[in-house]
Amino acid sequence: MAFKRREAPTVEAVDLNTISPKDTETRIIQGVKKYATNEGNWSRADANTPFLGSIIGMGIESSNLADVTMSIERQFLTRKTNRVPVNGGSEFRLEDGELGKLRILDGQDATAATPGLSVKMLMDLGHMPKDEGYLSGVVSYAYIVAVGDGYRMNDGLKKAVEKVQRLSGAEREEAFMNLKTLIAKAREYVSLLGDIKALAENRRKTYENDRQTVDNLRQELSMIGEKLKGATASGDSGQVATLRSEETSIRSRLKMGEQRYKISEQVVRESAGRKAVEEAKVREISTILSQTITDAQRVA
Amino acid sequence: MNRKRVVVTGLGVVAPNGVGLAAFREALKAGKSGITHIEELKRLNFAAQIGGTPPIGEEEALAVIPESELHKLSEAMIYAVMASLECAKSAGFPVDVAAGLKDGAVDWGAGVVIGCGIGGMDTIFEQMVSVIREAPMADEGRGMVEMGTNIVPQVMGSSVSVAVGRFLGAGGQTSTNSSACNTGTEAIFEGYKHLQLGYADAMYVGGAEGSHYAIWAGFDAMRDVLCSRYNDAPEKGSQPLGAGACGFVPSSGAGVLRLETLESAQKRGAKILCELVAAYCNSGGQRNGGTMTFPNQEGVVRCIQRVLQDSGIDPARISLINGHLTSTTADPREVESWLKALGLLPEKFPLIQSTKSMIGHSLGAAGAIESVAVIDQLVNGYVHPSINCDEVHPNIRKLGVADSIPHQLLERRLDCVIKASFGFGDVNGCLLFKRWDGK
Repeated sequence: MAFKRREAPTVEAVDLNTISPKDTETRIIQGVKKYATNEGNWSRADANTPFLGSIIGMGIESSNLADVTMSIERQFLTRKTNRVPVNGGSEFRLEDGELGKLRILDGQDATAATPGLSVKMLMDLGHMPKDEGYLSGVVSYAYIVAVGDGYRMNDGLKKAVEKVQRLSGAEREEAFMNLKTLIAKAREYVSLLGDIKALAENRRKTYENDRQTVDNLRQELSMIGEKLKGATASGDSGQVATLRSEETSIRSRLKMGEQRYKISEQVVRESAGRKAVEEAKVREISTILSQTITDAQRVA
Repeated sequence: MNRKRVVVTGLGVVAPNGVGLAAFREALKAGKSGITHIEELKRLNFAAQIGGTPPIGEEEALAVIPESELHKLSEAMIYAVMASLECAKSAGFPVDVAAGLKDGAVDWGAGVVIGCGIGGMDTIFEQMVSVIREAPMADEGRGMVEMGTNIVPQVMGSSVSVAVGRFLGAGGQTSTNSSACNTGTEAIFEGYKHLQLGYADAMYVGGAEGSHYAIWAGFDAMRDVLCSRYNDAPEKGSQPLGAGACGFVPSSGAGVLRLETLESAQKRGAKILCELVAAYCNSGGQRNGGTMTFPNQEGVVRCIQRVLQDSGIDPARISLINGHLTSTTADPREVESWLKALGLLPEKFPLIQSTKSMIGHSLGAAGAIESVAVIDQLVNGYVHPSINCDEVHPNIRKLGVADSIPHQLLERRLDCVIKASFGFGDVNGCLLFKRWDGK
């Protein structure tokens, strides 16, 4: 008999208006078990455990993020099922209607990096009632990224120390120089994490760049629109075809740019303040990273 | 160019009559068949309703592969990974799967060539077809979403090798060959060349095949290719060399060898199992009697002779032939080819056996699983019986070599063993393994 897989247990979808945020979070964590390659982290996962990454995350690979969203869609029912077309195209938004299947539209899950942020996404999109009590314990996307960067830096620093200790001769010299650079960067990062204003300012730079990109693309799109009007009026079909192709390309880049911009805007907003849960996470990684810096300095 | 010598330093196997080398050896020695009746084939009105599948399910697989990885693997990938993990462990490179795969070191000196004949059909039928059928009813742009994101790695040609590469952290060339029933043997040839030329220190080579009915369906559609006369006595169905041979019995599994340069093996003090002294693949060009499904005998003879020539080994030193011998009408012709290629009188003809008599024909995995059997016999000094051929095919009897077929287990020190595989497309492969005597 051929290789037989166990039948996956059927999970009955639940109305998001009848389930608590905590139970929603638990269901989301259970639902991603089969994608989690770091089983230890998965079994300890809570609202603020990132899906991605193995250091503090569940080890889910980025290619599986679509599966995470699909798993959420399969487990819940919503009243936001009425499709209202927008921009006259195939895009639509969801408004209240009959109870039915949950649909997460393109880009809506862009910052749902943890089970808690997935619950927040469901609340923000109106699929379930807002619960400020629950949300106060959810680390924002901005701080998930900031804390995650700290852990990655800590891991990199430890590996650099190991490398210096393992190598000899010219290779050791090179590893040694690299370690010194990493120590300097890690020190700067601890200091950045400790200063809310500086962190927000740092994030603002990315935001400004993304905004500039979007502004430029909007301007380009407007210019192409003008040129198209002219070419259409003059009946130059070859030119019209070329311009339409350019317009499509710009629209696509603009869509991606707007998504990045939306995320960086959110990051700037969230970086401006710090909840108690975020403060605790920042303090934790700052302590760990500072200790690793001290250890690394001994080697350096 | 000074070519490097190549030795075997590890083995792993997932076969219908035994999972793991120890169980496989025990089954080979006992002449135990792994062929069973398959209810699914009966339900689908196959003419041939028997086959060989390794006796494992999800529970056994989960004992060595984490759940988070298992669901990303097709059946052939699972067998390939299980055999590779055993192979790596036996060669002195145990993989701590529980510790996670991502943080382990990359073995830049090791590559992977695991072949697959058809593969991925279970994924296509169980995970893709139903979604594609429902797709017209899905939301615009979301017709395929339900498949999930792990489909492509399960159906791409290189699936078995990249799965093994992921588990072993192989940093050398990682690719999959395919040449029908010659696939497993060809993979070993590919790894051999790679090492001879110094492109790697070690290569994990072999073949893997799943057992989904869709892999076997096309063969069932062909007249007299599969054995359909033993549906009620499955273990008797595979009769290579026998008078009652009436078609091959399809099967599945995986065999993996760690080939290594002699230099690398000696440097790390590895236990050397045997030497692969020569290997070659060719084609009969589908001329002079050769067709898409039948070999040009001249191609077969040339392939074997090239291996003998490259090895510099006198045919009289060959202790055992492990033939392709599938239990079809082509068996007598294959024996005739061996006689021609070796140029020996019938009374000097070496022992000849068919591992397929116990495990059926595992297509892309066949050459690899059978090579594992060959090496185990070389290392442990035995010759497994060729079962189900007590009455030898009359045309083989006419060739005067009937006495060369071992019907019982023989305890015997072997010197050189030659193995061949032949496949649709008129392709041939041959390998010559020599007992390792420390030099």
